Amino acid sequence: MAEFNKHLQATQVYQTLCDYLDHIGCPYIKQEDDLYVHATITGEDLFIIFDFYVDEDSQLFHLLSTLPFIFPEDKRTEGALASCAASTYYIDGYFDYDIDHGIVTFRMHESFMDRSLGMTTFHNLVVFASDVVDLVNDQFFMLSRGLMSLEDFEQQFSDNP
Amino acid sequence: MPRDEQAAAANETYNSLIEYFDRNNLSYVSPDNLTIRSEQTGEDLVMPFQLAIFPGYRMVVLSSVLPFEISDKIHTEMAAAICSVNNRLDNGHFEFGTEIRHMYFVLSNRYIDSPLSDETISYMVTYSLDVIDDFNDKFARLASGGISLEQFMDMI
Repeated sequence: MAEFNKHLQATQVYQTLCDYLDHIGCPYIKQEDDLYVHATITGEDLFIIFDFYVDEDSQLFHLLSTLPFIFPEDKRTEGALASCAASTYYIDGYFDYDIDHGIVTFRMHESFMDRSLGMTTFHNLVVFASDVVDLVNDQFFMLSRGLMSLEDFEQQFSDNP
Repeated sequence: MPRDEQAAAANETYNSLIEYFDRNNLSYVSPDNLTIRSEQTGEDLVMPFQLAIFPGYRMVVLSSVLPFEISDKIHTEMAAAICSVNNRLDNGHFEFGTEIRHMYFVLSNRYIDSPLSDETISYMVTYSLDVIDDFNDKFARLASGGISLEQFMDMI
């Protein structure tokens, strides 16, 4: 795809994303030059923080939601095992885990190569990610604080996928 | 979206996938009109993969099981290795659960507002196979105890 078209496509995707966030009344901060948006959506238990990136070169849209706590050093291994296990229960997205810093991020990606992404796609992605993060946030937090064992963490997913 | 529209969109997607495989002379089997299974051989290992259509989600999921088992005693190292690799990927991810003895590579795309383009289908397949081919031998060596986690980290 010609560079101009790639740029145009990425810009259109970025604009549609902003239109969607305006439509749902979600506050956000834009960095237009980087095709980046930082947004906060209110869930059942917490504010869910989203970082959205539109990558012109790879023609990929990235949704990232970082959980608002870290796994302390003595719980880093449990964080890795839990992130891998939790990812197997969802049809889309996964829990990315920075093992050096104990940071868990739910990630989803969507390609817009030679096609468009509309508001319905963004709605589906944001609702799906919000539901997942809202559901798992407490379990990850309790595991990170030693209030839940890894076995109980996995059992909760088995019982309520 | 009504079920008949979901079915029509899924059927259109299925036809696009089949066209891609036919046009690129890739062998496949299709046990139903929602699933395509294929296999490619990489530099080191065979790479079986399937593309599954989920009409309700209007989504195509590519998944590939890596051809080796993971024993209980290596779970912690595998989890650390998988997290480190996933950190480096632009798209898709490796996953395994402690209840499963295998690991998978998974990548998905939705066809909600527009059908999957040929370019996107090609990207899904070629990108996934490239990533799997890059890492499957390293994961296999770690799983078999042939290398340590530290050696794995040095290799990626």
